[in-house]
Amino acid sequence: MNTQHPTERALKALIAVELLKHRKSLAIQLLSVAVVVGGGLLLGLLGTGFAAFALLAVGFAAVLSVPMGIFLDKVEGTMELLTSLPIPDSTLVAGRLIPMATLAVVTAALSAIAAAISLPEQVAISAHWVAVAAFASVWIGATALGSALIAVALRFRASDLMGRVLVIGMIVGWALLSALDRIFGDPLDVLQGILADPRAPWLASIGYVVVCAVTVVGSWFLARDGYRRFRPDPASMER
Amino acid sequence: MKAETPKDSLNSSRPAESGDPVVRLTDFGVRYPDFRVGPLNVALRPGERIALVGANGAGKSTTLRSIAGRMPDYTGTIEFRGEDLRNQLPWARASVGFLPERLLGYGWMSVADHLGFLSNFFPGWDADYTTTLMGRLQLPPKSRVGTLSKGMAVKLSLVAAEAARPPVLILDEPTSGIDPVMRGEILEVIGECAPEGSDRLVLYSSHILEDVEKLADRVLLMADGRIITDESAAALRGVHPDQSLSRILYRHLRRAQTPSHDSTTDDLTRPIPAEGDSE
Repeated sequence: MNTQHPTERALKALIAVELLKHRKSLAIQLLSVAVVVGGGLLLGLLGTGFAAFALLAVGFAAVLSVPMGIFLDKVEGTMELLTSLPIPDSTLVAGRLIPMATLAVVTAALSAIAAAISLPEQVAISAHWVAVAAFASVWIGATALGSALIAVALRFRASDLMGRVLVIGMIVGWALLSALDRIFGDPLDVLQGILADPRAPWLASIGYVVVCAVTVVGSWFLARDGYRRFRPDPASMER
Repeated sequence: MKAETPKDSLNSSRPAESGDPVVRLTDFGVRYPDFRVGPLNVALRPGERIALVGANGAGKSTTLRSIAGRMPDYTGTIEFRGEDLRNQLPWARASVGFLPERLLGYGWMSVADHLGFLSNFFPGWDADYTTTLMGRLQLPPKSRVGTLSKGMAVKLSLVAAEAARPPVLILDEPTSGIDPVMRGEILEVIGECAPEGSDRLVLYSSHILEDVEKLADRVLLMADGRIITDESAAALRGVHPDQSLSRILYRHLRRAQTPSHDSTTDDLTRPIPAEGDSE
């Protein structure tokens, strides 16, 4: 007889299925990291451009894989399955965010190490732990926030999302990046300047904690709201 | 308490008038951009096997999903065991087995894994009973969920809905689009799950009137989002002893879809004009 608390049992089942679901994308990410490291070791032959490109690809894969998985949930009907289970929304959200964060941390840490090995000049800080923290916070934040936003967006039709949220997001993102670039100069130069400051480890540590806390708490509430409001698209279903 | 309507008085012949309703809809409604379901007022009692019959878009799936606790955006009240269903969610879902129109699950999982995954969420899940049902329905445990045929997918959904032996079993079009042999198997198992005299409520929708005839002891006929007829199968047969139940239902469905038909005054106990006669 199973003596686990029902919520604990449900949470474990959700986490297990999420990790299993993303096993292929995780494998691809790990392979990409291996390619980055390999590329780094062969920098003399391939040049830094290749390694930088591969590193970017790993980052994009990590950021996009979970939101894409949630979209797949909607398409395949698994989102409807999950929201029809006799579990509270908070358990469902926790069951999604914990494996997301785990995957993001694994990929981010491996990518950061790969970056430190293959691109020491560009990253400028070798294998310093700050690099790991910075990469991890960015990836955790992007993944969790992206997933939460997608969860909220589930109450809209995909066409609405593509037509409004995505376009607005891209325009706003592009505008912000342009503005930052004009105000502060090349982001990489700015980053190197910040990291060269002796106060950088402390600032990075505080920044890491703040970014993680804000994104995790924000994601929690956004995702919970998204799942609570989620319902099948009335236009696509039999009445 | 709502005053009894003329239609209510027709329900006196229902087989399960005794006993408190396990589900009661009071002014239940759902509003779509171009359509409205309800208001529905109906009581469903333990031991009943109720068929929800109606044309596409009549509001059957919306009603079933809402009673199953899978669609909370409705107006009015659904009482489950005497209490507002909204106040009992999400836990009440464990007491309502629900077979949706299409199989919901991870396509990459095996049948056994799918059922194992679901077992984590239902406290009353009976693993031995699940195995028995799988054998009874000849479900291949190692097949991937995403590769199942329509019939096998329905069987899997039925096992998932029934495995915890919930007091209420709700089935949305369980036999549509599948071959006659599988249809027969599925109907047999549904009948075995809730045999006559049991205290379980089975509520199912179907377009196949022969299936309604085989299983139902009460029929709710829906049109334009409303229940236009609520009558026991026995009473219907009694009024039209020369016709099969499916024939009776077919002709009333046709009549309900006639543009000039006033569904608020529909009455299945009224003799049906012969085909070709004006109404």
